[in-house]
Amino acid sequence: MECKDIRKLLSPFVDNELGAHDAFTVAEHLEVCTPCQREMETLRRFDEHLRAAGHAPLEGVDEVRANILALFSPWAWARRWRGVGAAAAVLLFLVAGRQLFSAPADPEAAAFSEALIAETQLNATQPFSLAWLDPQSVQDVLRQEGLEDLPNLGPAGFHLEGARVCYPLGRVFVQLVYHSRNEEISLFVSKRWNRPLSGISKQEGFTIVPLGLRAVFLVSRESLENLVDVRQLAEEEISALSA
Amino acid sequence: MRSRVSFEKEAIPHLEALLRTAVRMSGDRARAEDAVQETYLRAWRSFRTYQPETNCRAWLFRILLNVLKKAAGKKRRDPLAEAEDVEGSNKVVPLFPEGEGGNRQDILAAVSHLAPEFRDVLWLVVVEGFSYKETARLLDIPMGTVMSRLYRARRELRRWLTAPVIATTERTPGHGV
Repeated sequence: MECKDIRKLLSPFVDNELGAHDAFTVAEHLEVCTPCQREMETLRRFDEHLRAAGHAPLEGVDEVRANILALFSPWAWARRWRGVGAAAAVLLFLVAGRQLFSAPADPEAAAFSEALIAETQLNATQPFSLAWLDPQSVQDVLRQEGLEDLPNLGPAGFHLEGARVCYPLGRVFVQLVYHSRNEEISLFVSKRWNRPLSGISKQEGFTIVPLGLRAVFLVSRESLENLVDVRQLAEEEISALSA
Repeated sequence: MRSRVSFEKEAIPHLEALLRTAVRMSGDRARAEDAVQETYLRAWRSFRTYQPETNCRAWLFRILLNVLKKAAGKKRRDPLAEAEDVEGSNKVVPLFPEGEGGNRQDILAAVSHLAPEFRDVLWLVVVEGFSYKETARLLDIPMGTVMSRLYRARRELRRWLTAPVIATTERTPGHGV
């Protein structure tokens, strides 16, 4: 083989991708041809530099990793507090009393409640189905839905865990997920929802509390000791922040 | 059903490789992070069908390349994104460095100036260490095309890095090898 033919094989040769016969031919040629040998050394050296440059440490990898792992957080949370459910449900019964059993007679309201519950259950069963919004997007989406800012439930011990856009029964809602030390609640907000549910309802262990026309307050399957306080605070916040 | 723990254990260690590849192929850190996040979302959704003995790294790269391809299609339709790229392309003036083949930025800048089909093959083989066969599968191209693109990519890079001055907007000719 001539040098020009050998040089075409140098690329796969340095990658160890040549068949045994061709590799032997190239190796034999390199033994006696200094220019081709130099060419091969240049190729190898260049590869080493490119590899080193490519593998240089990237800044901010830990943050990216944390952001990705955070997508799991609702699941982690749900697993951690799964056992609390039974005892807490008794407390919710005591707090909310008979209202818990006034399931909505309105079929549309019932279907809507089920849709909200399904959205909330996604937290536990399909953590990666949650596309959490970044803080700026949360603000933007909330404004679109007629709220000037995030409802602050801090005084009741709840802090925002994340926000996402969801589509219960084909309607666009913003779901704001709040956590306290051992409870989770969601506020579903949408200016497109124009009729309130008929009252507090309970389905599949979830309690759903309507908060006027703009939002529906959903309590997770773990019941809430201070349901009345949280409900009142959420109503005040939504009323104050409504544009 | 595969668990979240095993997903984290098998998939998360490849995050840095995915991110550096996404940065190089998209040319933008924010877009790269979005692509990697989307890659993990998609991977999780189909993790139940993932076979443990198969190559998790190659599987994740395959997803990433699809995500990047889709994003590139959207970007081409976005005039603002194109304007950003034109602006960005004037920032790099890589010169052939003294001594051992150049500093990292020069080499990476030169790689960025390759046409995407050459750049992708070069990156996957040389930096990420995929075999020609794996690269052919990842990019859905024949192995012969991997070889020819790699040969041309190396030739172009060498030409640029040994030239006294590199034209900032010049790109590798010859698409569709």
